[in-house]
Amino acid sequence: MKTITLAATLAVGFAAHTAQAADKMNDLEIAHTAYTAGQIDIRYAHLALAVSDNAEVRAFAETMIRDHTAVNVAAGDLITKLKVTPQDNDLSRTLVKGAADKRAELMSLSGKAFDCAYAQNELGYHQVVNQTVEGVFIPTVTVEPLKDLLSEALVTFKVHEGHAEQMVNGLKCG
Amino acid sequence: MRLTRRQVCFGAGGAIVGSALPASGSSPVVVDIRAFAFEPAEVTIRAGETVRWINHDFAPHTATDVEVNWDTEELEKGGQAVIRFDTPGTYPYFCAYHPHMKGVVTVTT
Ligand SMILES: [Cu+2]
Repeated sequence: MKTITLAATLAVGFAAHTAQAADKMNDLEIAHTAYTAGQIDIRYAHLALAVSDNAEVRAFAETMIRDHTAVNVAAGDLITKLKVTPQDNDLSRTLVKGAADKRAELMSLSGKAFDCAYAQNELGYHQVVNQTVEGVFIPTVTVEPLKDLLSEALVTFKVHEGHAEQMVNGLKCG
Repeated sequence: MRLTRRQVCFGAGGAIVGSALPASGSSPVVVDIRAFAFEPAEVTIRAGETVRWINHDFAPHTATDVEVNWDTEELEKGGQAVIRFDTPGTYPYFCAYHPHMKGVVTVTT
């Protein structure tokens, strides 16, 4: 329950922050935050591969690395093509800080406790990111190729959210 | 964009033989992989014909026989693979990375 509470707290804090900052974010900040969100999930996945012995959890983590890397490579290609530099911003910094705290918490766990905490965090994290990408980033962004990229990325992230939910249920964390 | 071109012959013994895809030949049945789905999910070909899978997603995918007798290997965005089916039968397959993605190749005589 502790993990769910923390995830919920992060979600609420992040959502509130997002709503507040949304109309102020420009395209370059949105690009930065979307990219950062992917990198954070890749880092969680590497931690899972280092700690977990559960085949399902490991397969999920490998998929996160594979898919988020592919999306971020595409994002990098687009940024290069548009000759722009993404801008760090409050939302990116909030995400990075929240992820560092969560990693510290996960690193104190092992076995099933780790698997459950990782799985629940993946579900909560994808839910929050997807709500933000769909509800804020895509409607706000003005450059069409970036909007397209975010829309396609969202398809991937939603599949991850569903997959994470199955993983949480499959682990029977209670 | 990297194109992966591959031909795998799935023979009666289940042997898998990989070779370069010849430039000629009849146009294969195409299965597009888009938004985490095989389109169409079910295709029917005759023995000796081929199926071409093309991935349109950012996420890499595979088309992998449920009995693991054949596999496209990883297809990046824009990547494609061709597999020839020589033996009549029903071949359910899935994506090894996203197992909820499912399809069927039916091979008739
Ligand atoms: Cu897949």
